[in-house]
Order: sequence, then C-alpha cells, then structure tokens
Amino acid sequence: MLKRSLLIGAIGSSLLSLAVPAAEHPVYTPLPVAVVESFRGLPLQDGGRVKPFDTVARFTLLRLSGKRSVRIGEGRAARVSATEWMAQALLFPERIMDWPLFVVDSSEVVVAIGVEAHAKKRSRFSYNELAAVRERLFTLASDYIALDAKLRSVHQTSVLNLGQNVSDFERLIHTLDVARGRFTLTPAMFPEIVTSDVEMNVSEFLHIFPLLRERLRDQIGDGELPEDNPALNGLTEILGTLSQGMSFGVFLHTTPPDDPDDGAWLAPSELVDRFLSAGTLSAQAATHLAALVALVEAGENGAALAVAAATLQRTVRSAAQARGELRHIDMETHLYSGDYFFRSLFWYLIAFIAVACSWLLPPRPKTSRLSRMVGWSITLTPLAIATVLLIAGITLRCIIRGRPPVTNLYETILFITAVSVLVSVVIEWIVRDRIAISLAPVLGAAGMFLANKYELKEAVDTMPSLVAVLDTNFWLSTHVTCITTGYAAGLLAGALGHLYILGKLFGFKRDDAAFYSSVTRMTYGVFCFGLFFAFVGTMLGGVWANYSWGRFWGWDPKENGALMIVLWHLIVIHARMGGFIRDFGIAACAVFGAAIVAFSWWGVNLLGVGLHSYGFTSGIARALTIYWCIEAVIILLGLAWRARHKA
Amino acid sequence: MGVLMIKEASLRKTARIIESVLALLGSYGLAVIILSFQLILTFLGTIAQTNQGLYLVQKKYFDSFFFMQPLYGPLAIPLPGGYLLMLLLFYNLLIGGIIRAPRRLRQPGMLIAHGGILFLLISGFVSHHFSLNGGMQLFEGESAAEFSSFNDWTIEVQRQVGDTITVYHLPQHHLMSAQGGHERTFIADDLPVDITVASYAVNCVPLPAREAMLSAAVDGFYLQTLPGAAESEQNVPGAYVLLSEKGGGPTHSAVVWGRERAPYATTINGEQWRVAMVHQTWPLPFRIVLDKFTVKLHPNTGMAKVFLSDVTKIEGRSSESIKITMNEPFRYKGYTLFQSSWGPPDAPAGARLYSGFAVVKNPVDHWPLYACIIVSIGLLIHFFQRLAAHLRAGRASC
Repeated sequence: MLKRSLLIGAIGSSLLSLAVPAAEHPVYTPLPVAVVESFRGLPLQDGGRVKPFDTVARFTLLRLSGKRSVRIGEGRAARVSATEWMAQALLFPERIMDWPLFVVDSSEVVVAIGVEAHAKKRSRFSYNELAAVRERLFTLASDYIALDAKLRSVHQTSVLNLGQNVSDFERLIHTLDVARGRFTLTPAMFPEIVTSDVEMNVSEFLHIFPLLRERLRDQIGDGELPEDNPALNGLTEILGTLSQGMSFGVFLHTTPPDDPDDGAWLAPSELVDRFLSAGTLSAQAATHLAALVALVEAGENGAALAVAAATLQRTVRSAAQARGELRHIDMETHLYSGDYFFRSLFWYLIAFIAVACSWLLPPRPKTSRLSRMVGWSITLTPLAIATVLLIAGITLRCIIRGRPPVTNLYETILFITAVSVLVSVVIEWIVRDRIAISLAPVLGAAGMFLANKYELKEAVDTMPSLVAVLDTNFWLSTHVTCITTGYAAGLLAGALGHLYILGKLFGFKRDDAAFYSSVTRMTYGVFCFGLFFAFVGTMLGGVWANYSWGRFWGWDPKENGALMIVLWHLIVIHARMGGFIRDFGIAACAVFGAAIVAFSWWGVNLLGVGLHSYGFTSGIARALTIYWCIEAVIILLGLAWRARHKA
Repeated sequence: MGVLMIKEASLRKTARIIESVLALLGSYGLAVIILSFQLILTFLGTIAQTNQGLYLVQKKYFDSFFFMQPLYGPLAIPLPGGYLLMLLLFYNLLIGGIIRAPRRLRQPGMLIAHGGILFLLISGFVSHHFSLNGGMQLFEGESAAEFSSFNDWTIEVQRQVGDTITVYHLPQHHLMSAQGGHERTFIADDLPVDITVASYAVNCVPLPAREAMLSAAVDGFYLQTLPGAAESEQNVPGAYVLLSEKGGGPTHSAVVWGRERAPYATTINGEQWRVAMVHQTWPLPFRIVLDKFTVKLHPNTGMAKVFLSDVTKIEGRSSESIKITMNEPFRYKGYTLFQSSWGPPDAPAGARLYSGFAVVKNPVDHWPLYACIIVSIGLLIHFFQRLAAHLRAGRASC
C-alpha cells in the first residue's frame, strides 16, 4: 500500500497546487457545531469493520501528530477535535495546510529530508512545510521501504513513517475530489441536448451520461473514431478529469454497497470507478454521491453545510442500518467521547492521594467506628469510581465487538489492570490491614498510564478486526482471560514484593514485624492464585493449539513466555515448601517474577518470531530494558540490605 | 547370630542409602533445581529462535539430553536438555508423590494436581514418540489418501516387474549415518541389488561438476552441501545412490535430490527400477477430495477472516461432505485434519489457490485436556482448602 501511495504521491505534483506559502500563525475557521456532530456519528468502513467517523479521525490524527487533537498557535489557542480536523481536511483542505500536524521525533530526520528545523527537537510540521521537501522525503521513504524491516535504523523508520503519513494525508484531502469536479457540456458537443453551455457536477453528469453515450454513438455510428468530433473529444476530456480525481488512491470508504452479500464499502472515487466500468450506478450509490456533492458544494455556507452533512449522515446510516452494520456505532462514539480510561486514570491518581492520606490516620483501636467509616468512604470512593469507569469501558468494548474482554495487546493492559485492582480489593476484604488497598490505586494508575502510552505509541484502532485463528470466542474467553489473569497476579505479587523490599530499604514500619509478615502472606497467596491461572491458561492455550493446529506444544516464544511464568511460580512455591526461601526470598522472587511476566507479556513480542504474529510489537525495547534494570537494582539492593541485616 | 546381626546392619545401611537416594530424588530441592534449569532452558530456547529456526532450536534445546550453550566466542557450557529435564521431573514427581502421599492425605488437592502433571508428562512422552505429523496441499478437485511429513525424508526405491510395483523405503534416520562422505549399504536377500547411499546431505543442491569434482560426480553433477536452513521445511536433502547388482554385476549410480522433478530410472535384469528422494508419507484410511476452497478477507483489507475447505471423505463406497475451517478440524479414525494454510503466497486476485491441511495421528490426542482438568481440580481443591483455613484462622483471632 505504501509503495503504491508513494508512487501516486510522486507523480501527483498537482497536489502542490493546494500548498500555499506558510502563514506565520495558522488561521482557524471553525466548522459549525452541527456539521461536526453530523460527521462524528457518520459510519465508515475502515480496517475491515464499520466504525464511526470519529474513531477513524482520532486514530488517523494520532498516527500523524501523536495527539488526539490539534493545537493551533501558542498559549490558550483553540484545540480542534480530531473529528473537526478530519472534516476540515475533507471539506476545506486549503484551511489546514499550515496546521502543525506531522510529528517528527528526531533532528536526524529533519536534516535528512532537508526541512527547515524548528526550535524543539520533537515538533510538528505543517503540510506546507513538508511540501517543499516532499520529493526528497518520498525518495528516501522509497529507498527505506526496500530494506529489511529488522535492519532499518530508528531514523530510517521515522522517515518511512513520515512518508506514509504525508501520503495518507494527501489521500485524505483528495477523498472528495471526484465530488468537486464540475464539467461543461457545450452545444457544439451535443446540439440536440443543450442549447447553451451547461455546467454540471459529477452527480448530474453521471446521471446524464448514458444519454450522452447514446447520442455519441448516433453521431459516430460504427465507423472509425473521428479525430475532430467535439462530443467525443469533450467526453474524453471529462472522463480524463474524472480519472485524475481517482488517481490519488482511496482513504475513506464512505458508501455501503447495494449487494448485501458484498462486505466492502466504497470510497467516493470507487463509486465513479464502478460507474465507468459498469456504465450504470445504482439508485443508492447515486444518492450517496449526490449527498457528497451537496456537501462540497455547500462551501462556506454554514447552514447549507449543516443540512448537507446531516443528509449525508442520514443517508449512510440508513443504508448501514439496513445491512445490520449500525448497531454499535453510537456506543463506540460514546465510548471515545466519554474518555472512560483517561478519567479512570485521573480517579486512580485521586484514589492514590486519598489512600496515602488514610495512612496518616491513627490505627484501628484508637479511632471511632464513625471516623473509620468516613475514612474508608473518602479512601474508597475515588477508587470505586476509577474501577467502575475502567470496567464500564471494558464492558462497552466487549459489547461493541461482540468479543470477550481480551483480543489484543491493548486490551490485555486494560484487563490486567482491572484484575489486579479487583484482586487487591478482595485481599483487603480478607485481610483488612490497608496494605492491598493501598496498592490498588498505584496498580490502577500505572496500568491506565501504560494503556494511554501504548495507544499513543501504536496509533492504530484498538478494536481491530481479528485474524482467522482468533475468531473463536470460546478460547478467547477461556485461555486468554486465564493467562492474562495469571499476568495480573504475577504483577500484583511483584508490587507486594516491591513494597516489602523498598519498605525494608527505607525503614518504613521498621519495627512492625506483623506488617511485613502480612505482606509476605499476601505475596505467597497471590503467587498461588497466579499459579492456578497461569497454569490453567497455559494449558488451555496448548489445548487450543492442539485443536486448531494439531500440536499441544510448539515451543513458540509466546508459549514459552507463559511456561516461564508457570515454572517460576512452581520454583518459588517449592522453594518455600522446602524451606529454601523465607519472607525476604519470597519478596525478591516476586519482583523477579514480575520481570518474567514483563518478558512474557511484552518481551517475546519484540523477538518477531513465532506463530503469535498478531501480537508482535516494536519500539519498546528501551523501556523494557530500563524496567528490567530497575528491577535488578531493587533485588540487588534488597540482597545487600539482607546481607547487612544478617551480619 | 553375629552373621545375622551383620546382615541386619548391612540391610539397614542399604535401606538407609536407598531411602536417602529416594528422598533426594523426590526432594523439593531437586524439584527446584530441575524447574530452574527448565526455566533457563526455556529462556535460552526462546531467544535462540531469533536467529535459528524453530525446528533446530527444538532439536537442540528441547528434544535433547544435553546441549552446549555458547557463552562468548568459542566458549560454551554443557547444560541439560529438555528431554532429560522432563525425565528427571517425572521421577521427582513420582517419587516425591509416593514419599509424601501419606502426609498429604489431608490435602488431596495437591496429590490430584501432581497426578495430573504426571499424566501430562506421560502424554507428552507418548505424543513425542508415537504421533505422526504431516500435511497435504490440495487444489480444488484434487484428492489425496496420504499425507507427507514436513521434515522427514526418505529414499524411495521402486521395483517394477511387469505391472507389479514394489516400493522400498530408506528412511531418514537410517540415512543420517551416511552423512559427511560416509556411506551405508542396505542389503536384502530377496533383492537383486545392494543399495549403497553415500554422502547424504540434509540440505544441498546439485551443481554441474567442475573438472576437479569430476571424480565425485555422477552424470556430470555433484551435490553441493549447504548450511541447514533456519526453517527445517526449507531443507532439501540429497545423496549419491549406488545400485550394485549381486554376483558382481554392473553398478548403477544416481544422484537423488529432494526437488528433482523425476526419479532416477534404470533397468536391471529386465526390471524397471526408480529411485527418488521424497518426503516421508503415510497412508490415510480414507480419501479426501477438496470440493471447494473459500478465503474470505475482512472487507477492504488483506487480512483473512475465514478460510474454509469443503471436502468429501471417501471410504470404500461411502462418501461424506465435511467442512474444515480454522479452529474446527475434522477427526476420524484417530486422524485429525486441520485447516492450516493456503497459497500460493502472494497469489494475485482470482488465482487458483490450494488449501493446506495439517494432518496428525496422535494416540493421546485428548490427554492434555484431561490433564488440564485434573490439575485444575487439584489446584482448586487445594487453594480453597487453604483459603478456608486462613479465613477460619482469621475469624478465630478476631
């Protein structure tokens, strides 16, 4: 796709006609709210599924700029939502040419493509800035795409991504080109049809085209094509212009097909393409095209634009509804506009502060029942709000997709966070010593922070279509949920281990042996809980593989990662039973166990080998290495403390 | 009396030694050591897959008794392989279980869980040694009543007398001793020839012989040995084969290679003989015909949503229509056919596609599931027992 789009980009010099000299400060002309709202709930097909315009806009903008909105100018300048940005890109591309969109992380890339550098190292360039170096950018990207992906440097990958982003942007802004076309029929071409020059849009032209074709046949007959026939020359020119409008490729699939068995929606240019190849356009397709034409013809007239956008939305939604593809569009729009996971992060942070304050309260016997209840309410309310938001978000995702909670890496983060928080709450309910409940908001905040960072880094739809092998709700709901619950337990045990070691290192509750004894018991209990789910999850994965591919165990990296977690749990439990480790040993093993979970969860995805190719990822090696180094330092410091303590 | 006492003391000493050995073999300490080595092995075997193929890694790390782990440059240390560790774990579990069983009667969950793991290890052993794994690729309209190994090759020798064809196989594990310039001769009383295989190479390519190589060449070609491919399926073996007529008759030399389009053919005493290097194949007790193969992509993407094979199983005079798709294999008479792949890779739209099936005959097909259920039940019983005890203790302290 990139090769094709780069090729298109390379020949598409007319694109630069949109590029105008960069303004000092980008101008922002807002779209009417009604127009933005109509676009927000407009269904589109993207990545194999029907989703709201809003979702496509969010992830496209995220990929281009690394942000969920566009900030124009400095200070308290307007923030433009992703939906409005994409609507502007479709309707008024010339307005956004100076908007700072394309994120460039490294100065090496800036030097390589020759664009004028900004003051900041990581900055966003406008299309107009990049248009000046577009040819060099595409040449470099074409060179780098030929390299083996594993051998590409970070800088080469950045150039390639930038080239892809610019190419995507160009395809986006030319999406409605076919709807913008205006054609003139002259009396010289068809004297029997028009008596004076008649200008028409593409919708009108396609409507009249069968008649024009008939008349042309009448004029030419069966003989050779005449060179100087005005009708033939005029139609050839119009069709050439139409084809040019289609040559920039396809970015958005806006129109549901007529055939209920045909799953592929059509882009505006494909509507015209289909007409040109089939000679006719169905009534539904013609209505869609007319709605798109009305949209671009409304121009700056806000009221007309609002009516056209509403008409388009109504037309597409009604066609999608008839196909049964509209069911969860509004729910998905609500999920993203509700910002469940970001709000959850916010409430976990509040909960953490509340829990930290609760440690300042005097111990149990010294406080009244009422004050304890008030303290608990203040502590637990933000935690409960955060967890409810998280679980509600996960539930909405399950309903939208019709799938169990975990089908991809992003969802593992959400699920693991929810499980570790809930398990902490259950432990607190059993033990009631404010230890586990103190960890819950930390784990919750860390998990939601990670989910947010992962979404930003990947910048792709987090509810993608599933590969064929994952198309089984039974195994997704058994094997995958079990194994991720095992991960959650491993991480929770690791958190408890950190609490023990760091507590000892910093002298926290130095004389409170019961505190550390309780932490150890909890850690061991979570280990046992984790062993059950890690073991059953790993075994069920084997059974799934046996029933899908014919082998129980294939030593695939992802399988091995899961096995390593099981083995580590077994080692710790047997070492404890054999008396080889005690309180400190369990804590240190829990920290090491969390590092193994990180290897299984993220590390094996970096290897880029094995059957679990749908889980491969990149660009996290550094973060992961830093995490392992920190864990190693904590264990070593703990061992040093232990040695000194023994001495 | 004195002799009796000495014997008794000696017996006691022997019993103590046996007891100590059994205690060691069934100890937690040994369990921790075995599991730790298994953990290290799994980690090394995982990392090794980035530059070695899965098959090679599996053979080196997981199917072996010992292996040499490179450290730095030529430095390497021996480590126990997966097969040895599994054996040790089995005995550790078995002996530990027997020794500790009386004490664990109050904790039946642990006994059940350990029994389940023993069962799992046994199923792994049986599956490793007695299952057959292979595949078949069919275009629409094609049929097959046999399946081929992905990794194992054999030299197939056909002897045709009139219309009767007798097929002899020289399987790969017999050919391995003929590697590296060695040779191995296969003799049978009822055959008019002795078959010698020389310089078997796991991965090689036939090349026209240069002058210096002419002495080793056959029909102007010699086999250039290549390093093993990362994925073992990509290896193409070859060998020199010599058919020596008994009683000092003439010899017939051939180069056989896995990608040769036609077998080597010759006439011996008026009989037609053909020799070829082919994948090891096994017959199926039924025939499979691919009627229709469907690939559905997620709309406007290149990602497969469904691939589905409509096949007919023919057995004797009866036939049955079956659908085989991802996660829904076809099981019959101990054989299981899985929808595993399709191709050719990068086939243009509208091109004729083949459907790839993995075929497995595994006598312990469902045992891992049974083991999983047993272990799960055991662990659940144990952990609930412990949780209940903990809660009771908590209530008592309140």
